[in-house]
Amino acid sequence: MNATFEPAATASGAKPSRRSVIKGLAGAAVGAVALAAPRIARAAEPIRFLHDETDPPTIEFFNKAIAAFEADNPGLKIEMEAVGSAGRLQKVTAMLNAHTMPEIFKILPEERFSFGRQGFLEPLDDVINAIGVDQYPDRMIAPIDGKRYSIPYTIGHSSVFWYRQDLLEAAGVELPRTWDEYIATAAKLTTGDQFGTVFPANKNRVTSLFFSQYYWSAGGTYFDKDLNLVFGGDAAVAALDFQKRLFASVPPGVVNYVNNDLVNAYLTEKVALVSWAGRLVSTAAANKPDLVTRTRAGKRPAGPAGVGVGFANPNNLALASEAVGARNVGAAKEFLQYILTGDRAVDFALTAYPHLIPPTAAVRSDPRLLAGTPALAGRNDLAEASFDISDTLDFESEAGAKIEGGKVELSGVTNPYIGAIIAKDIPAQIVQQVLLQDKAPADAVAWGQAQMESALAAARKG
Amino acid sequence: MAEPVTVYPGDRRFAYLALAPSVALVLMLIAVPTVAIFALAVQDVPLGRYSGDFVGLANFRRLFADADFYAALGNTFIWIGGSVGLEMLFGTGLALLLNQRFPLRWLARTILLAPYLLPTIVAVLVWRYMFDDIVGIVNHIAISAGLVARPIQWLTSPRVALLSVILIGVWKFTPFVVIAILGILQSIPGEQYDAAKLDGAGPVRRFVTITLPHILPVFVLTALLRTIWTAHKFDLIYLLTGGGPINATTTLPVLVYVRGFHDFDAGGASAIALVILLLIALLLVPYLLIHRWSEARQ
Repeated sequence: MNATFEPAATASGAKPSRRSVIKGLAGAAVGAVALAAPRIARAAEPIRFLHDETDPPTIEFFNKAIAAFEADNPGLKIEMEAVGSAGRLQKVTAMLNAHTMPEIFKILPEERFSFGRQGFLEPLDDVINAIGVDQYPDRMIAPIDGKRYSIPYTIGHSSVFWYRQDLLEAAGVELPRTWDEYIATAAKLTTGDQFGTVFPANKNRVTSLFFSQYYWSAGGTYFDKDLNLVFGGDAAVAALDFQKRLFASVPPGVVNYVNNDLVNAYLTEKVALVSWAGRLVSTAAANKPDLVTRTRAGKRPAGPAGVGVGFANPNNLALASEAVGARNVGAAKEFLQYILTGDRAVDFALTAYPHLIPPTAAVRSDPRLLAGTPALAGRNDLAEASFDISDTLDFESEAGAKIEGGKVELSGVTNPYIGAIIAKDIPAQIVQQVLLQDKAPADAVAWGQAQMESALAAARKG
Repeated sequence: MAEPVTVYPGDRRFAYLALAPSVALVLMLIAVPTVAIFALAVQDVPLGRYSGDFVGLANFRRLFADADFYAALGNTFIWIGGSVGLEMLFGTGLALLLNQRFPLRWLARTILLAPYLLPTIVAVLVWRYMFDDIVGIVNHIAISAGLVARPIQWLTSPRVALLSVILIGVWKFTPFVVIAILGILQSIPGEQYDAAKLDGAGPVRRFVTITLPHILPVFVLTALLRTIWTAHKFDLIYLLTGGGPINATTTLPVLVYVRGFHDFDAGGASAIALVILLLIALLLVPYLLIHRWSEARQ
């Protein structure tokens, strides 16, 4: 029998009333929902995964790992989203407020204290214990109130001193060993639209990061080992003076630079000396292999304290708590352990080699990783420089650190408060005041101290 | 004369029922967020919570003592005045030009309207690339021509950035003005111009006595719309400069974003949003008065 779409007649043969049509539609809607409900209830909650590793090979790795995990775990589904580093925190903030947090998400070390204490995170001690606590550098898995709320997936080493050997030779200059030599060399390498060096001067975390490593190299720290704010003094002024003198040798656009702009500047071949992460080499190897042959890595120029202190911190993944919208925490832990161990961890590190530094000793010593990638064959020097995180600090571990005997000595204190200062970009704003507004370094430092005290008071108040 | 329509009680109920989804949608999308902004503006809301402690007008007191707010307010006025002023000037001029007959007029119209059709992110990427300090074509030409020795900091100098952003905004949104004015220009009967010519009226007199009165209501309405849209424009500015360098291009909408998503200060951000609401309402008054006056004249 063919179905017809004629209006159905009532038993009396009259056309249906408006009321009966509405009733019928409402009934149909209720019926449809009732039929669909069991299907919806049966569907597994997906595990949402938010990160900022946007290199195409890394995305390809994640897609393959996710497919393999889903094949091994029928009924589990992973939904991945990759966002740029610049907008990550804003997205996370919006999701926290909306209580729609993904189960697994990228978190910065200095954010995890605040997030953990506010109940936004699930402890990950069981996952870390399963992998092995002794596999990680101590300072990178420091607990918060006895619990570990994040797990490193790479070590971000942001201060390898890359340089263009060909440009140095052409200019007849040596690799600078001190700040004064750095300023002079950069000035000599700056002509027309060619620039000696580059550092960011935007109002962002990476500018704070650069200033901090100069400040540490001058012998300062933001906090002492008792977590008192001790920012300022001669070290801060010296770091700002150094940046001001170096500013004449950087591209004018640094005021708007974000992380990737440092790599882009080097890839345009307009910059000779760059202190940045291994991504510079991994990107060059993928896009401009001939540039890699002209690239070398050297020791960071030493500051007034006798060492060129670098910056290296763990890049972490965290698990959101149910309080902020996570749904499938148990399965998310399984997935987390899956991608951070075994062949996956090695494969992941090789997607942006030598930028993605494995945090575990086991993976760092894996023969496949040590062999590197074909694109960097014979250039172990570049990988070794990226993997060498000696004489580095990060925001969490800098409290009370000292430079003694030409080495950085950690106090072993983990600082839960510094995130409030970095999140407000206070160090970056100090730099901008000196470089863009011609403020005297001492005045900018005084302004920064006041801002830091205010931010710290709010953070300590909770 | 049309027959009067009889409305039965059942019809009214059905009408309300039919309207209910639309009303619910409007309430959900407009009324709820608006009420929420008013509510948030008088609270101190911690990150990750929907509500916080009632603080009265403390967020407003804090705002009115904040130098960043006054800098953003000043930038907002410059941004609105500069953008809308130039858009109306160039838009009207181009519309008058495109209303003339000349070869390949269709092509000129297509090219001139293209920027408005581009997604903002595409326009931003193109301009950021063109203004790039290292590989930007604009600086390359300027240096090659010997006009400057070093690249100009189009988007990175505190002195130049806001002007650059305004010019990019004018480039992007002037076509909207062209479309609006050109539409009304084409509706003016040609006989009026012919008659004026016969009476010896020159181009200026024809413009003042025929063109201007015709386009005035649309001109005012277009300026009104552009003012509202420019006042709360966020994406173009944020994507171009992020509000920097320093706070050189931070307008009030950008400051709302910074307070809300950077400083995690939902209460402070909501207070600024209400100031924007008030600002737009105040800006509307003169435009609406002029609009009413020009309508009355017609």
